[in-house]
Amino acid sequence: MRGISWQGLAVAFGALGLLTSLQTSEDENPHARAPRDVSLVVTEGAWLRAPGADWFAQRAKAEPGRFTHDATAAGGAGGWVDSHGEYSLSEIEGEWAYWQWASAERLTDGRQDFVQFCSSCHGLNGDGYGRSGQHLRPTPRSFQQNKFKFTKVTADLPSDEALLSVIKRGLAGTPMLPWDLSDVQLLDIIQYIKSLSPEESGWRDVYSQVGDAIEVTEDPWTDTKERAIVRGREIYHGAASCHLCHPGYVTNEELRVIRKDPEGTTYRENLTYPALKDSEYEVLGRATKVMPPDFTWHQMRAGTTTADLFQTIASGIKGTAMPQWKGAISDEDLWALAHYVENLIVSYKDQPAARSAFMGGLRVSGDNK
Amino acid sequence: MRTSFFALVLSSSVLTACGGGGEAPAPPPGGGPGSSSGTQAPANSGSGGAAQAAGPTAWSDSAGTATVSGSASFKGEAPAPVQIAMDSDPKCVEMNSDGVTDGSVLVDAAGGLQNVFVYVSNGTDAWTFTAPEEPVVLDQVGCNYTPRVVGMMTGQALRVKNSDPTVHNVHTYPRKNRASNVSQPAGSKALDIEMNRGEVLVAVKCDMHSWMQARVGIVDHPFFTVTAADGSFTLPKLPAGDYTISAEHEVFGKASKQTITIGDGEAQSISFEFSK
Repeated sequence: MRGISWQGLAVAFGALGLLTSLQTSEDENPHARAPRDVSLVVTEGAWLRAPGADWFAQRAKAEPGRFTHDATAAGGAGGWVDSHGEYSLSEIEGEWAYWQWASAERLTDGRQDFVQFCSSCHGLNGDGYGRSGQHLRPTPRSFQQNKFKFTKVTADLPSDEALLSVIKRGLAGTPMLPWDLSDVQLLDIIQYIKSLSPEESGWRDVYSQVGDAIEVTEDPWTDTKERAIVRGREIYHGAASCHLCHPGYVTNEELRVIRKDPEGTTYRENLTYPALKDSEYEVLGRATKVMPPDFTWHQMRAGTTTADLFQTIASGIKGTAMPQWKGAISDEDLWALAHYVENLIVSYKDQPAARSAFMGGLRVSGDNK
Repeated sequence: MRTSFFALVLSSSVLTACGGGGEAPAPPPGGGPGSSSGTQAPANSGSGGAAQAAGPTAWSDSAGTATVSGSASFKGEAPAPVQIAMDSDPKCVEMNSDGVTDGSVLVDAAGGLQNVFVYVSNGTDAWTFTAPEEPVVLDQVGCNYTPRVVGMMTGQALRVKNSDPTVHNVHTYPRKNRASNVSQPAGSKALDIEMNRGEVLVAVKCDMHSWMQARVGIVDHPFFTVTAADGSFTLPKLPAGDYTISAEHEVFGKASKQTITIGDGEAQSISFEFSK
């Protein structure tokens, strides 16, 4: 890969237009900004934080012979050993962690595709300020803040599988398209994106963690969907109190019954609208807010099947006000919530007449504004 | 066992760094971490760890006989307490029927500032400290955190309880530690949150009740405290030595650091002043 010429690459990609414009615009444009690094070659590999022991235990089943468990590893705590040498267990500052080696060659492949497909919006260095992305809303994600929303894991950093699924499916309702590239290409791009973590943060930090996958368990309500929706509505407005941030989909009177509150109890203003919440993600150095979706109105980013909704609710949305619910309420209730939310989407989203009858009805009823 | 293995990992990473010349380190052989040389430390790690492995000695509680005490005060007119509107959750309103004010700034009549995290920020490198087994407890009572500011040692767990009849989410905002955001409905068991890296102060918030805030100061030794209602504090059991002592408040930030030299059995007094 080293020493390959610009022209050669351009021909190889069959994308003369894009690459030559990248190459020449800085030279010829009198208004050009400071030169930026558009080199397609990565010269150094990187150690990146890998998932924990559970992930290796799973992979060991999928790839017999590749991973073996060594009881004496990790100071006697036990650890997984990779015969390919791609993964390694190391102790740094008293913390044991798995690491993945991304070679310079692999990062180069990832960077080439990243520059071609991703950088126009996400920026050449992944800061989220690519030229085409500057007026997009929501703004293209910066890969330097380590805030990834749909991680499908318990902790803050997503697994490769989760990133792969986001890129392949896109994020509905945003300019992030579904990308029909090969898994090999996408996984190389993902390694490159991970290597953009600032030093000692994100995938390059021993204290960060790639979380354990939150599995989609078996739906216990498949034959009793109607009951699931009733139960989900109770959890939504009761134990989980989703209506503190998302809209409440009941009248105040109904809410009092569900919550067993005394007559005359009042709830938040604009109960049937979402409440804007703080986000940890920054744009141009400023704090941002997130809008918890109204399921009868907003586009869900990460899927609308019962299983998708189960996963999103269980995992939470990292860097936002949406917490992880796995473990906080039972899987049975999580599934009930997923059925209830799915029912709201199916019944009212993109159905103006039905929605306006439903939400309008709630909004004119008594004290429920 | 741990220490010797750690040394081996370090030495192998040093060798790799010297011989690598920017090329990829050789992938670890399949022999496994148990054979020690099998593991590779990430290229950017390990520096600084080696010096510590040889130097410090294990800390014993009886070694320190000096005491630093003092007070934190607020200079100027303290901001008037702001009434919190808890209307979004009637359960919270019910528990605070007389109203409740924002507890971020608590100044007494004499100017004493409560809830300042005071800690030794330099001078403890000669010892290694073992974190207590028991966790530091942060409770949620009446839709507020109790206590509002806590200190803990690296390696100690932060145990967050929910004593309220309503749901909370426990959302931490660390810069150096792992972030977490987990919901905790009424009646849930306590959550243990790990933060293993020193960091002052980490915010803890509840997004469902946006007024709820706490702060956690995490240091790698036991010489920390939080000021009382009159702004006073005591740091007991310090060994003789030179120290830098720092103080931080959740609203007013850091006060000027104080440096002291203290001998065995001595008592010294210092003060911290905060302003807007």
